Amino acid sequence: MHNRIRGLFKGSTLGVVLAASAISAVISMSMTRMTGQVTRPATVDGQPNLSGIWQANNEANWDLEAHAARAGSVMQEGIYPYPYARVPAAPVVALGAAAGVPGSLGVVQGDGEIPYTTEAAAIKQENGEHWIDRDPELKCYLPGIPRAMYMPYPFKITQSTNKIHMSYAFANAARTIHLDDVARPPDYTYMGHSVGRWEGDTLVVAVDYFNGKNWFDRAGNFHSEALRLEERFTLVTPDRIQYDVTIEDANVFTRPWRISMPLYRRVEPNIQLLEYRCTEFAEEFMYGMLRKEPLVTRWEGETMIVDVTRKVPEGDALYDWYRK
Amino acid sequence: MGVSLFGLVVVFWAASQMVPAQSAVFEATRLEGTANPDLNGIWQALNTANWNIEPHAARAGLATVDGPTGEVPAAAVLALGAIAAVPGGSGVVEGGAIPYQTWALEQRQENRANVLTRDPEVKCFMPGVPRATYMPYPFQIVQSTNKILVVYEFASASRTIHLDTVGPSPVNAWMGHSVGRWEGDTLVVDVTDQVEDTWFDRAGNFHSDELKVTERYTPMTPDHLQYEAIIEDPNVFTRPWTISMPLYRHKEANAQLTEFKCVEFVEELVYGHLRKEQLVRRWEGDLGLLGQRLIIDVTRTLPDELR
Repeated sequence: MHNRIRGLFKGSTLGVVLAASAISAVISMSMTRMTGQVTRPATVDGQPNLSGIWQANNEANWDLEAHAARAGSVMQEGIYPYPYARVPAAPVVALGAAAGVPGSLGVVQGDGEIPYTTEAAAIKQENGEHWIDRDPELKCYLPGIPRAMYMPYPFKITQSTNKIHMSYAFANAARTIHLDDVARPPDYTYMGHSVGRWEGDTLVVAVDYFNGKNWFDRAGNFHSEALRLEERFTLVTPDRIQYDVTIEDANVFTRPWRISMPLYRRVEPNIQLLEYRCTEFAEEFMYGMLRKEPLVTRWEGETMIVDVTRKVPEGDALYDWYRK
Repeated sequence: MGVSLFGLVVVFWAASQMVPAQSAVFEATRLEGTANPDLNGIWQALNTANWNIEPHAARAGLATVDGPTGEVPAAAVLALGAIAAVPGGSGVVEGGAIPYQTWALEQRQENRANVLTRDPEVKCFMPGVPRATYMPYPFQIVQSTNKILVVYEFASASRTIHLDTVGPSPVNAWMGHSVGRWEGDTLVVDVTDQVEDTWFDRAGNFHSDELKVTERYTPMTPDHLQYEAIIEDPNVFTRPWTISMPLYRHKEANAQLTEFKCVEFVEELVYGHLRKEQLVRRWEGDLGLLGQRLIIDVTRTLPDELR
């Protein structure tokens, strides 16, 4: 026995072992380089493992419905009164093409239109025209579901047997999907209350208890606190989830409707969620008028000067208190 | 040779433990009738490289001013709130930092302080290579045996990768001159003759007209390409450097490029100061917060040479 073991470390046998391990090391390095999280188990308690960092790759956050590209997210009338002759308005003109809105075939299933009631359609129209004043995303409010799933920032799924947790880079939003029994939440929230179950290989999540303050996208598509969702997550390949949501809100829509889109696993080896604490970024925007001395007043470009003035109504108690 | 049976058993056991369960080297579908992988399809990067190819923390905006405790968004971007902020990213530059020469670092600093007026993306200039690959818009690869056409949604930019023999480019171009070849399953593209006016990202990273880019596209799974670009420019950098990232295939059934012809979109920005009557002047917002209104006034100025 002793001689045999010594034989292992002699000459050509050792050489073959070393060669095999060298080749395997190269192969596994190239696998690790691509898929990064190569040590992740394929299942958790028999269910497909959705853990990892994911991101949508579409224009749903601009507008769930199909839409052509346009010059700016805020527009005004041009010289000619035609809708296609509108131009970017003052808040975005300095950003040029970086503030344009890319076009898309949309993610709404069926005929592609969101089935608003007549009153709600008018509200949506108005929301779209006053997007920059009203979209909660600009003020870094928690985005709610499903919007958090298709914002242009990655999110992380951590899957266990009784809970599945989702953390979103945007505004450090997060939600827990309860696979076990939990009590109803004590209040309505931005991110809602998520209760999940497995139907075969598909994770089905019922979400409700929304506070109704969120939008679905930057186009003014909205809902009330009666919103109820049924999400379906199906792992189509190890690196792709098909994400499908049935949306119901009797206050706003005439019938349920669906959106559907792929979610892609972020496969670079160094992927991790980074902070995007936009609450601090939006502070000047939201509260800058409370400064004794205005801070953001003027920006000068090559052919353009942008002046910002803040206006506060007479007798505003908070404003007066801050400036005392 | 004296290889013992026991030793062979050990070798095979060890090898089976180390090789992952699935096929270790992906074999892409061939382009029909050829020996090369089929790269046809609609692809897109999914990272923050277009904001900044180096590792970077999130920032309040592309243009900022100093506040009492840190940066705040400048007037030009203030009204867009959290949407105009810059998301953080781990970077795509291998090794982390771009090896600039000393003078070039100062130039980059200056670029960075003037992004809105100097970044060619803002005025919808064609992005050049490699930036076109990782802009936040899809692109389409149309592959044949002697040419590969790459069409980018942004500004409808496009370029032809010549796999056959062509003469040199007669002039520098925004999208350069691309000559490609296959090395095994990797498409290798030499990109030369780019104009000096493009940037690598929105963070002021730049180059000269002697830029040479060597791209490598390698299929890693049916739906992922590994993209690498080796950047060489002896006028600006101390040595060649590499960026790398995955590219993701668009899998929705209705995936297609839509138009983003931004030249028309930026006409008001680029030429609006030439109107007799200024068109874009004032916007009054209602932030719905504490009753305050945010008023943006835009004044246009003629550059000295036009006065």
